[in-house]
Amino acid sequence: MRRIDDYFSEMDPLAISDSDVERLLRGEAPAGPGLARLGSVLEELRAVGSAQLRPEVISRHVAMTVEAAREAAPPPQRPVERPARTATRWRLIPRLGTFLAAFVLLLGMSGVAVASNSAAPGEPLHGIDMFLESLGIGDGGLRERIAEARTLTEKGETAGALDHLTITLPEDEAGAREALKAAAQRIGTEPSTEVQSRVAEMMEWMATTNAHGPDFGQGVAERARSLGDGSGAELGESPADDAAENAAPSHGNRPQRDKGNGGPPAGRGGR
Amino acid sequence: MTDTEAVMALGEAFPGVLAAAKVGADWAWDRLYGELAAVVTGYLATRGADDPEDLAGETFLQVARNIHAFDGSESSFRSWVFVIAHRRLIDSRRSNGRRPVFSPLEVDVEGGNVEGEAMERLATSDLVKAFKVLTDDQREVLALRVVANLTQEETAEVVGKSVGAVKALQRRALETMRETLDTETVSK
Repeated sequence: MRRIDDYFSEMDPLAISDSDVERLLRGEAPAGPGLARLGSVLEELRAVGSAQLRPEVISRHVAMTVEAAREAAPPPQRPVERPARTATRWRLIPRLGTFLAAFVLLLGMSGVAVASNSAAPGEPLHGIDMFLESLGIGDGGLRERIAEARTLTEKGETAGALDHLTITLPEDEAGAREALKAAAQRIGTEPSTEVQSRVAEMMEWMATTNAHGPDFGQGVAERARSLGDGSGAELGESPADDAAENAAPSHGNRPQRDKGNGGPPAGRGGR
Repeated sequence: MTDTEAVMALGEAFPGVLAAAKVGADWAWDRLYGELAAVVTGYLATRGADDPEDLAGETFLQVARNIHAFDGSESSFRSWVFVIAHRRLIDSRRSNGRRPVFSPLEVDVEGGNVEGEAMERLATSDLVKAFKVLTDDQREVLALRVVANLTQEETAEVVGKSVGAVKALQRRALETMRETLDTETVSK
């Protein structure tokens, strides 16, 4: 069925139909006669506007935006203790907050929380997972971040897993975060089987070590620096493990990070 | 692609990327920046920004500072980013005052402020000749539709006009450009 603007374009030789306007703007060949030169002009405009960003500019901008996002993320909202009411009265209409709390509780008890808890970054339910963690539902700690990173490695995104692990580190302890980022760039999009195996070993160490704080960061940094460097060096026990084992008993506690905290710790962005 | 569909680069992954970006995950910002930085920079360059890379960086900084309050689809996110870029551009122009703004499309080929081969190339450029006769609103709409690859709806949101107004601006712009090129052909 012809559109009315097609009739008008026939009446005015300079008029361009809506359909040809869209074709021209999208870079497709227009149907109307005499529009080829106009199409070439728009291609020239498209070429003028195609920017080639310098790698150093990209790195700097991404680092700035990450820092800004972490600093701007609001702290988790804790439930406010309500004072005891001296007078009781019936409320015919529950307040909206009660509905929301019930909804969140229902999410927490339902399969949505369970299903989303294993969602890796980039998957649709991961957004719900992060939302629930920000409300204190779900682990949100180191163990969950490692599980998410493992999911990424299973999907073939080993470099992405290393990037994701950087958010487990609240501060740049012993250069661990930089080491993980550098390793992600070094191993590329198709790391060898050996590299994948060593990434898995590193995550296993992160999940089971008793080291925490700077010792934990040092252990991560050492392992990350050895990824993809071709040294083939065995990692074995790190000084951080020795220090942790010789320290006072920690009652089996793992370093807890991001207990339901969807935002960065105060004073420094990151996890 | 219809006139209301856009290229959704992230697609189903967008909600997860957005949630991770809100908490400052590096990989999420790598994805968002990778998808949008080039077109934002290209749009700013086309519209005569003094330092398109720097202005694009400022745009993404503002996105990062406010992303925790953003809630919407990937299409809305693209519109929002370009709204910020558009406003940054206007602020930049105001702060520049009367200083000349360079753009490949603002070159005064008749005034001769470009040297040698570049001038000769630009003087014969159909794009320069066709763009010179457009209004600023028409140039803005074409930059957003062609360079930034936004839909009509996204463009309307950025420029603060109705979709009907955007359609009228883009149609008039193309018809004016065509008339200019045809007139030049006849006069040769």
